[in-house]
Amino acid sequence: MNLNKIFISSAIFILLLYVILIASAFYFFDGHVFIDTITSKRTLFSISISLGAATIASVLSIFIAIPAAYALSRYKFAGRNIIDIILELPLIISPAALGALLLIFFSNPLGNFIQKNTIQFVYTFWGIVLAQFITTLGIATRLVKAAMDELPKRYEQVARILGATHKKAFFTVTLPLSKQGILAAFFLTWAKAFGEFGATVTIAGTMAMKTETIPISIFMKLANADIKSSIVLIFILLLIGISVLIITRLIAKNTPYA
Amino acid sequence: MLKVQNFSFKVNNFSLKNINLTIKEGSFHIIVGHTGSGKTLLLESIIGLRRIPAETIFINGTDSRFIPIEKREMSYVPQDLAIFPHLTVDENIRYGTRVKRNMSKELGQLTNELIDLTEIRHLLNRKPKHLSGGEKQRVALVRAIAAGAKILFMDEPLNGLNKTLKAELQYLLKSLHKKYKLTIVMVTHDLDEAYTLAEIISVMSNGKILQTALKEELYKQPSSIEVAKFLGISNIFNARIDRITNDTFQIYSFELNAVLFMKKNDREYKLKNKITIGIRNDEIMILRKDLQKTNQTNIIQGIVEDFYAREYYYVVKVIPKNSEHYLTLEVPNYAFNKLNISKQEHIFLTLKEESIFII
Repeated sequence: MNLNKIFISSAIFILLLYVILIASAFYFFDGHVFIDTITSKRTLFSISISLGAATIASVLSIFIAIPAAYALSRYKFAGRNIIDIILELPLIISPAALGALLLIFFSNPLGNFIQKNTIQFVYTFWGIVLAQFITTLGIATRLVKAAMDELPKRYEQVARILGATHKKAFFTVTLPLSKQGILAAFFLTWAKAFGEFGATVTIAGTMAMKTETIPISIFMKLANADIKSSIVLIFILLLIGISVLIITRLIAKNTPYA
Repeated sequence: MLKVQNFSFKVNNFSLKNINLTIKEGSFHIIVGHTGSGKTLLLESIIGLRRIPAETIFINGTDSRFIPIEKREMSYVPQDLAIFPHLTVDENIRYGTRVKRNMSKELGQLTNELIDLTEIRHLLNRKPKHLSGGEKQRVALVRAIAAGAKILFMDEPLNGLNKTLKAELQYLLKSLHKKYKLTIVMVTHDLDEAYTLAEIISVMSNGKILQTALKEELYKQPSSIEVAKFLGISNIFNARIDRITNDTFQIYSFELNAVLFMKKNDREYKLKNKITIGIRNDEIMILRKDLQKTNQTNIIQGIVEDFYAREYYYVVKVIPKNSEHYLTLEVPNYAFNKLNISKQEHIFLTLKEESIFII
């Protein structure tokens, strides 16, 4: 077997692995259960809070990621390298550990004060949002930074020389030219938030019709040995996830300055 | 209006060394140098893209560090042109006036005039990705001028264009400079381009400005061997002044083993002074066989060692009689063909007194 074949076979192996995994789920597929699960109030509730929490969390993440990514991409400042490392923290630390850190934080006086005077996070919808926000902020910043790194500084410099203030150059040149990258980052962040489980379950718990996102619902159904219903939810998660990935690909393809 | 004073600046392993430069209002000033000589770094420092030391660059007498980039009233055409890809040609051109909220009638009129002069009106609604190389150069040029800046900086803006297009744009640039009395500072590695466009040329090498002069002066009197070599002058020899008259020196060149006469210059020299002379390659002529007379002044007898063709001329290498050094000539194609020269042929060369200069 020549080297090319080894390389291509490895790539095909990845595809086969996931296809087999997904296909195996059809073994337990039941049409009646599918209709019942997908139309049940509990599933619709799960879908709606998953969509709502993921959207709020990813909007918040991107909102902070844009200026932070710009700073990391364009400036040299004290602590820049540490921030750069911290961005990857949610990728290497178990989400359950992150959720546990949140729980611990809200058990200390400062966390208590925040919960009493602002929003109750533990075991609420806002806990889901916070868990998703914490786990996606790093990746959102990393993705937006990649988009800004790719954008030549020259455009911004020319805008400044032509008479634009720093603010104007940012809003009329940098931001519009990073639009595709930011949108792609938003959708990927959203997909990550939508599928988040570990941190969410730790801080928001597993309360049906209250904090039951789709991943938590899958977990609860499996815990009750309801494999057929959990497969339906897995398919919903897959469908939404793959659609978002396709959208992201399409957006990233149209980078204007490439 | 713009002064660079004792400017030294280090970036990684490269440094600009003690740069002194004055850009006169309305001039077309070209900084010419090989790739890596520091031209772009100098330009970026002047424009404000680099954090430079205090009291080194002055705009109308003010230390440039205290003037924000957008308030410097400068424009810039970078090497990659940087036409905003998300805007149409029209939006690109009017970007400067839009961000400055300067919608004055004069600037509007100027923009319209420029659009017509550069023949880009039909492109106004296009996005940059649908423009050809030459069209992009025109758009970048119009955008820079239409912003109403007082000085236009250009970094090798005509790089990568074919010859015809380059010549066309050079002509356009010259006419825009003349019509709008623009102050233009341009960097290039192309000496021909510098001579075509500039009024004043600064020669830059290894982070230093070697000479700044009017282009005619630079051609007549390079200030150092390095500048002479940069200008393509190959004939640099040692000599001795043997006689001084009212307006000429009689010199003896050791390497050429020849007695030559040259025009005196302003500097003071004494008899027997050792000097370095340069002889411009394109000003040495080969005498036609029927006109060869050895009793004329500045006649050098020699043997054709080699020749090869360049675009518009032949380079001919001649070894003077009793010498081991080459004289390099540039003979126009038509003249070379007429002379019908062959290798190892004995020929006579002549040169004017003005063609020799002291370095």
